[in-house]
Amino acid sequence: MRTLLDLLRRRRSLDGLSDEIRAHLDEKVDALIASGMSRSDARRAARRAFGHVAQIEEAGRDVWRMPAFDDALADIAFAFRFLRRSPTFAAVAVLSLAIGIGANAAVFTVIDALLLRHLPVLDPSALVVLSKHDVDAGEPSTLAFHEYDELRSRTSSFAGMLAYSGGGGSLQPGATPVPGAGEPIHAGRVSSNFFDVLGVRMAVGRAFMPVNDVKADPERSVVLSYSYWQRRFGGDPSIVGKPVIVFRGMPFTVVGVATRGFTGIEPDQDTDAWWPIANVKRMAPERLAGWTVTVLARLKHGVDVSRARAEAKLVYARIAADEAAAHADWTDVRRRRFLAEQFTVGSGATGIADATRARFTQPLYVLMASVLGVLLIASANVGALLLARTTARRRELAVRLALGSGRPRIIRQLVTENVLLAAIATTAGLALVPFALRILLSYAPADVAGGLHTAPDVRTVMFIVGIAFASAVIIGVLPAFRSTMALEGELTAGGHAVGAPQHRARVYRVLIATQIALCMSLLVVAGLFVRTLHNLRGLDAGFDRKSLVVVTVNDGAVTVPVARQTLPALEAIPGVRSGTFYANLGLLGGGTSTSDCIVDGTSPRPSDDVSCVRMQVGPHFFETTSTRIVAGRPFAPGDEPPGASVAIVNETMARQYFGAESPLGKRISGAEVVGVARDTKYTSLRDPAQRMIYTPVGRGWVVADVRFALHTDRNVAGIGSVIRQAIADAGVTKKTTAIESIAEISDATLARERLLAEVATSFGLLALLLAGIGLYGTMSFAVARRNNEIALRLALGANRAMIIRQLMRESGTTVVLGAGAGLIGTFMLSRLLSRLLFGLEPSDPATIGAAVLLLAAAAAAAAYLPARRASGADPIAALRSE
Amino acid sequence: MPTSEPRDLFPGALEMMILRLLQREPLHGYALVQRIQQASNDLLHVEEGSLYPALQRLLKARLVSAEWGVSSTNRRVRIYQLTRAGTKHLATEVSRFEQMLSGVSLVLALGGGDA
Repeated sequence: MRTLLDLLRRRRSLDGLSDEIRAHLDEKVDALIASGMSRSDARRAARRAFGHVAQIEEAGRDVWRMPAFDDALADIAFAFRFLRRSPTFAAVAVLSLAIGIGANAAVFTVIDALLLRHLPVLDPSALVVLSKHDVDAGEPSTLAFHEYDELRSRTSSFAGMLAYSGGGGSLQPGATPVPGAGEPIHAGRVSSNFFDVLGVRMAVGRAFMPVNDVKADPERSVVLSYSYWQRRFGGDPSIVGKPVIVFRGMPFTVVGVATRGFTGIEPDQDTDAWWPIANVKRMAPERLAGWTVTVLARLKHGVDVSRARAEAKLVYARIAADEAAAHADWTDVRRRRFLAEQFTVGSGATGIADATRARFTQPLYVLMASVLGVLLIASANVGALLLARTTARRRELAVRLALGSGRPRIIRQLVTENVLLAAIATTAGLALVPFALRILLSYAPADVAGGLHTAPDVRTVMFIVGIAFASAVIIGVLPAFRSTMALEGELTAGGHAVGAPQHRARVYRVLIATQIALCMSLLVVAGLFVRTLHNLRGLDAGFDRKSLVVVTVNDGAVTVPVARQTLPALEAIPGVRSGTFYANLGLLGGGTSTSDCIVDGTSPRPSDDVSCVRMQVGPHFFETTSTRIVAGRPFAPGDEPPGASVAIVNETMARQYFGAESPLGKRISGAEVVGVARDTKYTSLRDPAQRMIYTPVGRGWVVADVRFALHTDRNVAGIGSVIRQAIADAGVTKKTTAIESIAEISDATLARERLLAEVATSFGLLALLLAGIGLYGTMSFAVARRNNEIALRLALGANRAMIIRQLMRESGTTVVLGAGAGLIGTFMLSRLLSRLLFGLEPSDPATIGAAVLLLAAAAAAAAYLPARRASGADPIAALRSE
Repeated sequence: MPTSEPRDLFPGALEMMILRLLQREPLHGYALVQRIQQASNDLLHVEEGSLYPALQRLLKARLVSAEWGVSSTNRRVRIYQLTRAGTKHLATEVSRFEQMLSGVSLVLALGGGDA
């Protein structure tokens, strides 16, 4: 600050100096002329009396000299000139570093937003999540509200405990519901103490009154998020006190707006409005107890997590035991699985995003490692090139050292060049971050991409400064020390070292080998992910994955008559071959539901697992989804309950339940098996098919969302408006919330795999390109330095092929060592990788072989070109130039 | 630093004279030279140019401030003015100078023993 101020004053003071001196001389000349001197004599006399103008100006400037600062300025100016003189080098260096830094910043931003950022609430580190995990699945399963209520009342380690259930909802202003007028929102159904436990204040109005949610009559109140309030209501404070419809057509009152910046406890979702979960009692009083909720609690002051965990585990064990005892109807398997669930208490500081985190945490870390690898390659690359250039400049530097420039001064200048390079690259890299972020987030579901808060915070800024600093060190500081040390050696040795000093050659080798190793790993990893994606895409899922369009109609309750009334209109659209509807079909929307299936007349042993996935499907289902019926018949009109009770099972179920026997005619839970369908992967593309039982939707069927699947080759863009029109024409007032092609749905399912395959491939190829440039560049310099030796050997009768072979063998050793190290590195990561792969092992020979070939080809090309150029030199000319 | 005969008496003398003159009235460079020569009855012959580095030193030390104005001969010149710090600095410098001068005078008054 002081320096800056002095700079300004210096500028102001010195700026007028020349004018001032000129005015002085003019005045003096005038005076002398007035005293009778001739103009030319007067001018001479005035100059004599004044002294040497240039020297005096210089003396004036000397007054203000700030040595450290001025030297740095000179260094920077020199560095700029140096970069301008070699634009190709500067462009390659800046661009490769910028891509590296930009990609790192973007990936870290997403990691920070999804995994690291604390909730914007009071003392977030005192928050813990209470959850239980299925032993097999590993993914958390939610607690039931009654379990929350008991945990809350029977534990003493917590200052407060809240229940939360987030998901889609709708909101429409006013007190009378208008069908189809609700806007989709992300809603939070919360215990009434939600805002109190979090310590979140209201920007306007009040929070919910904390009451006993189980006993008290719940208030019909809504709290809006600040951003939704701004977006939807223009920040109008008079919205408080007004009615809105958020639940079952009942008017609720807006009582408050949460403080700015608080968008809920899910980092991957922006919640728009919250209302007390106890309102679900209005559907039926018993609905609340079984409602699944996420439980967050605040530790009492002075209570540590382990104590709280011990207490909560003990309490939960008792709750679970009571629950299991109360359910006499459970099978043993179900009972055992229920009791085996692991209850955990973990940190809640970063909020809840289980599904997104389960899906993307590992891929993000793999990506982080990849982009760090790319940055390291880029830095090593630029470092090697700079080192090579410094070597080429060693005469200049040696002369400057000899002329008395201190070694620190020269190091400082070399470091300035490199730091400048890093600074330019960091700036360019930061400019790339928004684009990189957009690419990354395009792989996430739209609501997640919009919900993540990617504005930079302290942590991302620290990270970016850190990597920029690290790359500056790699590209600059080490080479600078290395080269001046070598120079001093050269000077004392008489200034005429012919070969590269041994240790410097070693630095090159290490830099190149490191690049090759990282490049090898990145290529193998990219190849593994590409093949994984390919395997999953090409997998026979048992249903049509090409020509389906899925239409979701939502808002309130859709019933069978509504669906039946709509279906013919959709099937009548030209190009639609057939259509069906359903509510839940796993990957095709709505998730799955599992229950126990018991063959009538048998009593399974208590230890038998009789769970199966239940799918309720509309007419023409098997035909529309191209799911083959391998035995028996598909559903026909008249099969619907309650008039009839029939079912179709899949092959896995038929095999496991009936073995070689035909399942046709058998009854399962009262329904007669009329057909066997091919195994389909509606639940997960990765896992083997589960047991499945299909039943036709019955007359009493009511669902929140109904999905129509249409078999058509027309694309969504072409057919979308026709579909909406057809639905409207059919007299359906419900809202069409989504029209998606099976390709979009499938791509969304494979988002993680696409992310890994596409991003890892980009970085693998970038790494290959960078390593190639690095190898080519350093090889070129190395060869140029050995011109004399090569010329001598050519003159002595060696032929070009021999020279090329020898030069390539030297770099070949480095490449082989690097590639070997890279492969070992990949093997060490294989455990982390194997969970992300499908249909192949991390040691997949085809992938590794392809990567090795690709790398070998690139390395050979990068080394061959300079070697060939050198071997083509005219020996006489080369020797003469010495 | 460019100097020629006759040089400054001692380092800081020129600055002290500048400050004293500026204490009476704000002046520009040429006028300062005139005043020094008039006031010293032309005994001191200051190389005119050396005034300017001295003024820069004073500016840097914030003992004087400068503003652009117009001279009596209608030229655009920088007019210097004493700052508060300059006034204080002048007072201490003058008293130190006087002490030194009296000390030197006492020594010189011992008289010569040249026989």
